[in-house]
Amino acid sequence: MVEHMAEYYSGLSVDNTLTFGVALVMGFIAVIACFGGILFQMKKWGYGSAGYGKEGQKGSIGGFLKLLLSQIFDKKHEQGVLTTLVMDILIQRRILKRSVLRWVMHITIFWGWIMLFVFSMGIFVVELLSKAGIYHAEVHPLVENFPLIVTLNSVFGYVLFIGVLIAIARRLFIKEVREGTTFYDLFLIWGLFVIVITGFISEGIRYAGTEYATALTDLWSLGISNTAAPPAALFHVVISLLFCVAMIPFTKYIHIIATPLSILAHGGGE
Amino acid sequence: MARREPSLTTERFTTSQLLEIDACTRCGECLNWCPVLEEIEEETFTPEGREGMTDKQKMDFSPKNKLTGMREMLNKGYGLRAKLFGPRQIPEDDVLKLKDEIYHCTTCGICSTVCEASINTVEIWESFRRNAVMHKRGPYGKQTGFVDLLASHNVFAADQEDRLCWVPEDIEIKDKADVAYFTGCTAAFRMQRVGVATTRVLQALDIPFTMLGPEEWCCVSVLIRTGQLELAEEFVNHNVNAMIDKGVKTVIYACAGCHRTSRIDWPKFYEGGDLPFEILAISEYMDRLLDDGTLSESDFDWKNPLKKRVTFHDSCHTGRHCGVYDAPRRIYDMVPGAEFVEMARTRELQRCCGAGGGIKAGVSDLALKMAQKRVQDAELVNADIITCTCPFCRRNIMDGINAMDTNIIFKDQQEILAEAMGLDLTLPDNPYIDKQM
Ligand code: HEM
Ligand code: SF4
Ligand code: SF4
Repeated sequence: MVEHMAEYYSGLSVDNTLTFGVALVMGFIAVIACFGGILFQMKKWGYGSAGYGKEGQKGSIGGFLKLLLSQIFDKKHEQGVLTTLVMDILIQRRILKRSVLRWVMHITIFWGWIMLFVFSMGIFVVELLSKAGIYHAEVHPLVENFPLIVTLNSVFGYVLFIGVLIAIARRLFIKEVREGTTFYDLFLIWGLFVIVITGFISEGIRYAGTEYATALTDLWSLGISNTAAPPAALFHVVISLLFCVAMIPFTKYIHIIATPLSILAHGGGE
Repeated sequence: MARREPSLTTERFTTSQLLEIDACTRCGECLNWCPVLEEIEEETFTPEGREGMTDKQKMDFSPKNKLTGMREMLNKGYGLRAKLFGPRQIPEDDVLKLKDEIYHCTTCGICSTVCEASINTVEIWESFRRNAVMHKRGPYGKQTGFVDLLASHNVFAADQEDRLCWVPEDIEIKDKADVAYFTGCTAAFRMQRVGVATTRVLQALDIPFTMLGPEEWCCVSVLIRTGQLELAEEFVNHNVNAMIDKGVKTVIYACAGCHRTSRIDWPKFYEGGDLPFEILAISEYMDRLLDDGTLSESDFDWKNPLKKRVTFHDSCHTGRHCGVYDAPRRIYDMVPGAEFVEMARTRELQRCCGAGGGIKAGVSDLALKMAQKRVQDAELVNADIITCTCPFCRRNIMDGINAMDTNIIFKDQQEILAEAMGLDLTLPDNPYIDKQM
């Protein structure tokens, strides 16, 4: 068993350096694509003018940031930037005011996604430290040294899952919403769906036949033995990096950058 | 080979507006509120050249799809592929279709109010229209006439020397004063009753005021809303400087269109940036005087109790755009005998009467249908009078009433005040008497 014991929390094996290496390289590419893409988008926004009715600028990131910041910190806003940040971005009361269902949908997606993102990053760092010999784990798999994170990871996985299911159901079953749905919308929610599902499956496979297996993880393992843990984990990691990071600037994911900035620029409020 | 220009350029959009176009999450909330979309969906109105649309095609007139249309077109010109291989050309017909969709909008602003992404849609529509005018795609229908009309410095091609021809002889207009009443073209030439009522009320309340007279040029609302900016700067600077010459500290308005334009748009065009005086709706000004004790309720010398059910239509421009909701209501509450009722949709979620955004001139049958919807709202609460603080809403709502079988009448806020105070609203003889609406 031990030779297949997964080191990396999502199942990448310590023995199989190729798998880990691939994940590392993909991570790099994804982060570069994401940052490069955001810069590209800012440059695109920078083709606009510095003020209402004024001449355009030739793709100036500085010009874009200048107007945006002046709008965000405009003293004419009724509430402070911090209030907007908490009430309208972290709690999203503008969605709540319009629809409780959509608020539940989004707040679960939002917090589910953010927390999973943070945990993944955290464990990735632990993994690197362990590889560098700086951190020595008592227990294997590595991730089992952090039972709280493992539990929270599952909890937020389900939180995200609930939101994604509501989003999918809304776009499938409400006629007006379905008719107005395009590939742009579908890519985002089905992309998340695939990420969540592959996450659960790879976790199920990782635990299959080990002392950590539960009825639930066995269900998700689809009966696959944990010898398949590294490729399953790799699949999940690559999909997540592609959909969740690399594609942010070029798909509807852009809203996780543009929407909060728009809300801040207009001073939020109900 | 020179690179081809994108079919839809970023010209006239601000950097933040380009960001906002990408910020639309397509949540669909705005679809529930857009009053133009409502008429199109119910087929009470069909845009020219778009007969027989499917339900899906009708959606192209929704704020959501307009933003999506802009996003897709802009990305064809400025996206990653465009940067690598050159802008992808969009058939001109498609751009013109989007243009028509964006001109089918009263700039009522409700889509912005409910927008979960806080997008300032109205200013994006206006920037698009400006871009359209630059590229000779806009404006729409009769809106082209505004620029020529304004050679006269007002939208009716009237003689500016007549700007004060409606003012009763016994009204004293100070040469210089802290307060100026900006009449607006409509009250000066077509709804002089509103002007007379306003000046009478001010005088009865002992509020000294000045007016610009022939030096009061159009506020340029019609140009800004329809994207025709050529004259905006000149007109705004002229009006602001004329106010400065009169030593004005506060300009008050009985026209929502002029009020919004002065408050929100003038600072964007005025050479000095922020205006050196304050812009207030007349109800806001009275509210302030009542608050600071300069005016008390007993100063209103009521003579004729109203004995009617009154409902108030918040104008989009003074309401949603400027956030003034309580002040006008406070004024109605004082009028003796008036039974004030609210319609189902009021304040920031009010339903637009259909007059604004160049729709009255550009797509008048749409404006009329929308006005009728608003009158029906008033009928539902059994109102006798529908009232507002905007001569432009007044004109459209009255057209709506005339096209319907209803007993409701329209009265401007200042008319209601003046009548209840027993003030004389007779118009002095003037060249525009038979043009009154
Ligand atoms: C950072 C602040 C964010 C803001 C202000 C924001 C705002 C919004 C809004 C207003 C909607 C439309 C909701 C509705 O239909 O009523 C939306 C949709 C969506 N958001 Fe966010 N969002 C943010 C971050 C995120 C993050 C981090 C994710 C994670 C992936 C996310 C995923 C989604 C998804 C999947 C939808 C689509 C739902 C659908 O199409 O039915 N958002 N967002
Ligand atoms: S401003 Fe009003 S009329 Fe125009 S798109 Fe928005 S909701 Fe529709
Ligand atoms: S309400 Fe705002 S975010 Fe939602 S679809 Fe309309 S414009 Fe887009």
